Amino acid sequence: MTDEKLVEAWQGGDEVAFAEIFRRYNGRILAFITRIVGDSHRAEELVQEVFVRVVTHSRTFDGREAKFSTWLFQIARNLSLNAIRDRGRRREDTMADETFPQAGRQSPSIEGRLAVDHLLQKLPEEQRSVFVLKHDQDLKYQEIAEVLNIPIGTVKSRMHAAIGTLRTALQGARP
Amino acid sequence: MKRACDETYQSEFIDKFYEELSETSIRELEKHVAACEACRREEESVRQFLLGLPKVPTADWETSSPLASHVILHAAGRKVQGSPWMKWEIFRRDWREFWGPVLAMAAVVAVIWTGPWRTGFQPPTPLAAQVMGGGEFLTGADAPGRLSTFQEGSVAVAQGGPVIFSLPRINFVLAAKSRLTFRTLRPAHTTIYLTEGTVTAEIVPGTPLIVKTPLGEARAKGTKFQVQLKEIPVPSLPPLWGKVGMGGQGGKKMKRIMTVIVLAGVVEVVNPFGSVMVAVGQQAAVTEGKAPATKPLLNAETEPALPSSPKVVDMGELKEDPKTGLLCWKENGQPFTGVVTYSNGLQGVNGRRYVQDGRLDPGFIERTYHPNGQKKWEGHFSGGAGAKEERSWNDQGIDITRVRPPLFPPVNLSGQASPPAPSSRTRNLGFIWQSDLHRLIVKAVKPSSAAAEGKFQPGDIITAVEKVKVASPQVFETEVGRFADDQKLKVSVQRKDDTITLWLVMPRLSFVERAFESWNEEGVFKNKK
Repeated sequence: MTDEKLVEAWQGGDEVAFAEIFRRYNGRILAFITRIVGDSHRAEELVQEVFVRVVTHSRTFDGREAKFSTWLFQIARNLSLNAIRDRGRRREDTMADETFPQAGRQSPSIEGRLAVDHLLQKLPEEQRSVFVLKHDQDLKYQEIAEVLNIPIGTVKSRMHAAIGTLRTALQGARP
Repeated sequence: MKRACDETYQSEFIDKFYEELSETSIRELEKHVAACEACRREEESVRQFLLGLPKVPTADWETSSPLASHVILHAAGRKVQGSPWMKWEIFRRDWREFWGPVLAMAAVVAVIWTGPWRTGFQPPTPLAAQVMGGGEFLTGADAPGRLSTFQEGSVAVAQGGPVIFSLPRINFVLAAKSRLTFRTLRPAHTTIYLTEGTVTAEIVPGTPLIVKTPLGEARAKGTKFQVQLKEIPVPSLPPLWGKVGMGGQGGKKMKRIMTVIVLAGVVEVVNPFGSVMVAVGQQAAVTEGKAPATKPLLNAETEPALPSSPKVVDMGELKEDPKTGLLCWKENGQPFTGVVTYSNGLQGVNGRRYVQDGRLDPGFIERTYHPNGQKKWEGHFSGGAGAKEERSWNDQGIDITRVRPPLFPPVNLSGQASPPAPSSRTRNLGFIWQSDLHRLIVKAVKPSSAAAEGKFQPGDIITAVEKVKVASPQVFETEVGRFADDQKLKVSVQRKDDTITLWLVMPRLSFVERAFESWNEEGVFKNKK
């Protein structure tokens, strides 16, 4: 059953449909928020908040106009941004003045996820969101553009910039 | 300054890796790369880098806990009280949550008090299934619903023999290649939607059942009857020129017919064009656009083997099993080890196949499988105690058993930093398990101290529990019998790491206006009156 059908059933009062929606997405949303916020404990709280928003705003969602997953990631991203702001993190907190762990030239897997997680947190949030939605969540550029409400060209440029930064940090200066 | 071409094409290499490049662009890019050594190296470097970038392992955090979603629904209810629409929803839900059980309890007590017979305890089980003759049943193929007494879902018999389903007071036999959906609005008020095939029902006297089909419905009360829905060829004149008409199976024109065969008692068969009472030994036929008609039953071959009538357990006691330390129902002095060990998870959701491997009362094993047939998950259960052991495998068969992090922070029940540890004041009721539920804890609370301090406190051991039926407004529900006068019953659900309060019921029906009291997450007393 499609997400949109499930949402329709949920809007009709079928709580089992909501449980299925939750089952499908809670892992993805948690992964997404964890990457954005960089705090797994906070992310767990935010996942709950995301789904609470889904419940309370379910009537505003129209499956004919938007994909449910897009809407869900929009909520998740907005809440993540709120959380980052609450934490006092500044968007200017970029990689420019940081020293990054050098994971070697061949593959970042040597340092593993920790190194990448660390670097991701140093990316500007707008690049980080695009990267996580693309690399982790396998969304298409078009879908990311809808989630972030930006032109597809901007999505591409942010993605390229994010990867460029990560490559520089993880592989060292390009030859 | 002119950029090197490998830098120029770097973005294209990234887009190509993520399959975001058009076919035309890919062709152009490949044409260039074939002729450019630097770009070949750069493309390979980008590809290797992106392959090596770890993804967040989403599956680590996946949970299918229905409880978690219910927690969210509750949380949503608490957070949206400003919305008029949600206020109505909350009112509706609260009515169901709080007044529903009490009214149900009042009805039960009234029946016990006034009736010539005593009602029995009906285990709060989901639909129990027993596959016969190599048959297989699948659930949730069309709807994501689990089968439970308070929900609806779909059942399909794929192949092989029939499947026996049991609800409290009702047994069904669903023939092979049949399909139905059922809905139980409240205990013993079930409607079956038969969309294909044959279902035979045996109902304990006094219990109503409706079987609906697209052609009409059969309404019964305490009978045994069978409903068939099938297609039959429409008799037609021989073709004038030896040609066969189009449509239907093999060119024959088909029509649907609903047949109701009564094996015991009386069944009312109704459709928009009329109704007819069908007695034992008769059958009724319903076709589209016509009123039901009866005719004598030619033979009794249609009756499938039914299991014995659903067991109606006399009102029992909750006693501690000296061997397991669990509280369990006693029936005539014997431990009640009926269908209490079934779980909703058994029924499967969303195409996943669940197999009940053993039914060792009161424990059993459940397994789920990957679509490729590889074992995915296995749980060993002891009735009511939750999973004793759970293991998981990935689709390559590698053991990936791990402790899942708690999805929600612990809810502070008593003002303490963590949920109270099980103690002599905490008893595992030992008769319900549902997905991530690991323990059901019942606490007695002294009302005077709770009211005085504005907080509830862990209370005494419940000394008298006569009747407990567990379910929640959404997950499970509780009915409570008599308690000591100075005690209340607090029902909590404890998962591995958290304890979540569902509601509290005060057992004294004479104080029904005070029957619903609850505490918030900080343990602050909130009267729902």
